[in-house]
Amino acid sequence: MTTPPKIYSTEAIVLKHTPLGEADYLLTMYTPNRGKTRAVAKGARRVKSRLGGHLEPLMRASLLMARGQNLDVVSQAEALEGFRTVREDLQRVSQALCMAELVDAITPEEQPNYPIYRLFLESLRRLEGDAPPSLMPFFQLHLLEQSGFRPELYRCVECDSTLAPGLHRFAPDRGGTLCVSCHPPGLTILPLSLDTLKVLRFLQREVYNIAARLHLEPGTLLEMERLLGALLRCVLEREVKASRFLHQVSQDDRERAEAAASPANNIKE
Amino acid sequence: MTYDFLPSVAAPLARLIEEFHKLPGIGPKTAQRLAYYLIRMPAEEAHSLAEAILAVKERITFCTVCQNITESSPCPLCSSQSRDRSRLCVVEEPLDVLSLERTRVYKGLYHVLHGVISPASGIGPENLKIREMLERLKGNEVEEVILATNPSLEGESTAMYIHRLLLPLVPRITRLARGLPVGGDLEYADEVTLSRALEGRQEM
Ligand SMILES: [Zn+2]
Ligand SMILES: [Zn+2]
Repeated sequence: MTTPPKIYSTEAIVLKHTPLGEADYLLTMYTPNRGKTRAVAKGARRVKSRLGGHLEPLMRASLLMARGQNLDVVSQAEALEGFRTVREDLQRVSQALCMAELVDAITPEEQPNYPIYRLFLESLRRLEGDAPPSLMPFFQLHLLEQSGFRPELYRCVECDSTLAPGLHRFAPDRGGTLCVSCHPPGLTILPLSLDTLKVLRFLQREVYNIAARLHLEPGTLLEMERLLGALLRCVLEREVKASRFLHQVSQDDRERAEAAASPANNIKE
Repeated sequence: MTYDFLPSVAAPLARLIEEFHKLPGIGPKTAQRLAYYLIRMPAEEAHSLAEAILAVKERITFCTVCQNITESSPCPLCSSQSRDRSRLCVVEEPLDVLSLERTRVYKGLYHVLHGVISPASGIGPENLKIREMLERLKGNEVEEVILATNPSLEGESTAMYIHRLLLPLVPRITRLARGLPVGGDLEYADEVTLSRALEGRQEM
């Protein structure tokens, strides 16, 4: 058996940090070659820390790591991408934090998954750019797929029959679509419109550059948000905490947009 | 953590070690060291320490105006006649008020949020003293609100969120300048800090 080197370098995107002791941070990061990994950043909470700013959540950084007894320790860090536009926009930063929490929740530690790294990084870059509405559902669908939870969107999860157009529902606990003849007991069943089903299939099938061009109706977007949210809750067996704040911000944005569109007729739903 | 596995430790001592271990930043080793230090401490010093802890719990309350910790509400800062009532500085924690007061530059009032919005930890705006701040600003003479949350991701998000709420209420909303710390080193600054410092440059 060869002993692993004491010092190694890696690239990483910081998913989150939690205070540790007086001045340290415990970092949860996603790396291209090791998947999700945790490390200690010593002194990173001090104002003059050489590490601090480089290791804020959502930073992509190049790191020099020293192997520790329990956790590895970051000995040097240099930010590669700061995603400043994301950081300085409430809607964008809430989406990015949601994505980071999803990656953290769905991936096991120390299990390399390069497609997930790529997906997360590309999604942050798109969020830094024009951030189209299809980005979040696209990210969620592909994250599920790369983690081995590809949602079924063509057949009934109960009887395996091919779905007939217009005759379908959604069963989040079973990870996909349900025909209208099946009534498995004790299952949460959500309505699923044909438009939304088509959009979900399209986003699942296409690469991002094509998916991004899709025009989405607000109703479809909301339905998709609800279905994918329910699906993720079932897969993760817990609530996605950051999605609550994202909902608050999105709701707020919608109300603002409506108020701006009809200043004389400002009605809250 | 319990110290049942240490039969050689007297029960009161084990309890003290446990209590210390609950404090933030205190590991089991430090907890033991502190406990043994207390044993050798003169009785009157130990009493004085215990009293100080009780006094904090019994006499300290939150100011109903600024939410800072205080002995009397409204706190001395809020009731002072010499403070500039047209300015309100919003901070994360009571300790931030102390830091800003030490500068002796700011003469306005404060509002303490008691935390930051941290979506990933499930801490939303409703968990902070934001509603109290909005109540306070209604029909008030405040002309400027200074958002002095930390330049961290959570601090920035909190500032952005509050900024939205304040827009219709306050004529002027400002944010503390973000840039390089005194004694810092350009070489070790991250790109976000550096680009902000560059934008915030001043004539000299
Ligand atoms: Zn069926
Ligand atoms: Zn006060």
